Amino acid sequence: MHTQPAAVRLADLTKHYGKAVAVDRLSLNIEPGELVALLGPSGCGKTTSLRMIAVLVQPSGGEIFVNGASITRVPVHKRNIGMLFQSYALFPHLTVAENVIFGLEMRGIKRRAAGLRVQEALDLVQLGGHQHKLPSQLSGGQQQRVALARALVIEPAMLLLDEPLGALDKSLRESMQVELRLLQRRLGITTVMVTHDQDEALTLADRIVVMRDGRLEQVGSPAEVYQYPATRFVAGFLGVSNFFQGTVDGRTGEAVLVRCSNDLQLTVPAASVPSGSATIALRPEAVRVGPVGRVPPGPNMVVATLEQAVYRGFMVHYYLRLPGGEPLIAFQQNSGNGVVVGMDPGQPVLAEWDEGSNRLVRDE
Amino acid sequence: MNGRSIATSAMLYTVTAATLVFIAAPLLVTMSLSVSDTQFVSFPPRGFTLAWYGKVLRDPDFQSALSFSLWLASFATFGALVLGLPAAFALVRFPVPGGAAIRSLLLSPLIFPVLVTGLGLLQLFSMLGWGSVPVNLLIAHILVTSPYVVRTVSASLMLADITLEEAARTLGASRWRTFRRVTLPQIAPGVAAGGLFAFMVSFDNYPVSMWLADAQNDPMPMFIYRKATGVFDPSVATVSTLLIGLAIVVVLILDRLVGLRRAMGM
Repeated sequence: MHTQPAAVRLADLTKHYGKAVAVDRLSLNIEPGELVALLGPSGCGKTTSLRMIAVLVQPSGGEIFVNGASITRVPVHKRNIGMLFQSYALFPHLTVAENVIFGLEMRGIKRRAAGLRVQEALDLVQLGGHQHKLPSQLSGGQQQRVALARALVIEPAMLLLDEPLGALDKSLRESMQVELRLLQRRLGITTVMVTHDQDEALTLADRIVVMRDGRLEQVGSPAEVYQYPATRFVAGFLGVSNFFQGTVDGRTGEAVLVRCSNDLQLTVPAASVPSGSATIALRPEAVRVGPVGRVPPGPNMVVATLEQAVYRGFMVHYYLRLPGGEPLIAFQQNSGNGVVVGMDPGQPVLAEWDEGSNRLVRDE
Repeated sequence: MNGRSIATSAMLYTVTAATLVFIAAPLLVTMSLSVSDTQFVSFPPRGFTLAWYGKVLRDPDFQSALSFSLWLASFATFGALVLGLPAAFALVRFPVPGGAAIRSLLLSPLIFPVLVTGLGLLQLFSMLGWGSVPVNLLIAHILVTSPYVVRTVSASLMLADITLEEAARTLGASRWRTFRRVTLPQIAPGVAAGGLFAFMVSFDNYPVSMWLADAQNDPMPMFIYRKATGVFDPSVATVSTLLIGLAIVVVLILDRLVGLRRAMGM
C-alpha cells in the first residue's frame, strides 16, 4: 500500500441546519501523515465536521483543501477517501474479499491486479484466511479490520474514522487502538478521527481538537491539551479537574497570588497579571494528601475533611471537602510496597500541591 | 396455567380456526367441484373426472383470457416497479418538499373506491379520445398496483442501513452504482413482495377492468364472471382451481428466490 500523505486544510467550515449552527467556522491545518482526533461531547459538531470532509454532508460555508487544491465541490465518490464507520458498514450480501475489492472495482482496476491488492490489504489487517466468509460470520473486531482493509486498499488521500472502535468491548478496543496507531504510522496516511472517548483520543492522536457547541475550543498535542487546558470546559472534559474561583491579589515573586474563600491562597506562575476574578484548574494527581502535622502557613495547601477513600488498584481516590463546602478530589499512586496509607473518613487531612500545578483557565 | 389464560388460549384457537375455515373452505369447495362428474355445479360433488380440465384448457376463450391477463399483469407489474421504486426511494431518502402529501397521493388508489377510480378513468379516456383498450387497461392497472410497490419498497428502505450506502459512496461508487450494488440487494425482498402484490392485484382485478375492457381484450376475472353467470357447469370451478394453483406456484418461487417471508414480516 503506497499512500501519498496529503496535507488537509479546513477553512471556516460551517454547517447550519435551519437556524441551528452545527459547526461554526472551523479552521484547521492537518499535516501530511498526521492523526487528528476531533473530541467533544455529543452534539458538539465533531461528526458533522467529519461528514463534511467526506461530503456526506454539504457544507453551508467554508472550504476544504487537499494539498492546496479545494475539493469542496468534488462529489463524494471522486474524493478518494477511506472511511470507517462505528457500525462497520460492511456489505452483508458480499464476502470479505468482495467487500474489500468493491472500491477497486469502482475505479475500474483489472481483476487480477485488484485481487493482489485485496490479498495485500487483508494480510495487513491479519485476516488473510477469511476472504470467502460473509461479514456476519466474523466477530466485531474482525469486521472492523475488514472495513479498514476495504478503506485502505483504495490508497486514499486521507482516512476518516467515525467512532471506529465504539462498538467493541473495552479490552478489544484497547488492543485495536494500538494496532490502528501502528498501521497509521507505518502507512503515514493523513487521518481524521471522531471520538467522544478521551482515552481513545489521548492514545491515538498526534493532535487533539476539542470541540464545543460547533466551535473549536482548543488544539494541541495530547500532553499540551491535558496539561495546559485553555478553558474550564477542556479541563473538565479531558480528564478530571478541581476548580477554584478567586480574586487576583497582586504578585508574590514570579507568581500571581489568587485569594479564594476561607483563607485559601493559590499562586500561579504567570507572566502577565490578569485583573479581577480568576478560575484555576488543578489535576487530582497533583494533590498530595497527608496527616495534619501543622497549621498550613502558606499558599497551595488546605486542611480538608476526608469523606471517602476509594481503593482503585494502583491508585487511591480521595474525596475531600473544603472548609467552605467545596469538593476536592485527589488521586494518589500506591507505592507498590503493599502498604496503603490508611486514613479514616471524617478525619481532617492536609492537602497540598505545587504552585506549578495550578492552571489559570478561561471560564466561559 | 390459570383459568384466565386457558380462556384466552381457547379464544385464540377458536378465532384462528374460524379464520382458517372461512379462508380455506371456499377454496376447497371450489377445488372439489372442479373434478365433479356432473353437467352442472352441484354440491356435494359427485364422481371424479378430469374432463373439465381438458375442456377448459382447450377453450380458446380461456386461452385468450389467460394470455391477455398474464400480459396485462406482467406489464402492469413492470410499470408499477419502474414508477414505484424511484418514487419510494426519493420519498424515503431525500427531503422532498411536500413529501408527506405526495406519499398520500401515491397511496390514495389503495383507499379510494376502485369502482369509482375505474369509472373516472373511463370518462377521462373517452374525453381524451384514447381508443386503445389494452393501453387504457394497462394505464389503469399500473395506477392501482403501484401503491403496493411504493408501500413495500418504502418499508424495506426504511429498514435498510444508510451507512452502507455512505460507505459505498466514499469507496467511489456513483449514486446509481450504489443503488444497484448496495441498496437493491438489501431491499430485494421488499421489491419482490411489491411486485408480487402488483401482479396479483392486476391479475384478479375486476372493478377497474369492467369499465375499460371490451370483447377483444378480455381479462380473466371478466371471463370467469361471464362463465359463472352463463352456463354454470363445473368448468368455472376448474378455471378457479387453475388460478389458485398458479398463485401458489408464484408465491413459492418468489419465496425461494428472495425470502418473501422476511419481506412480508412473517
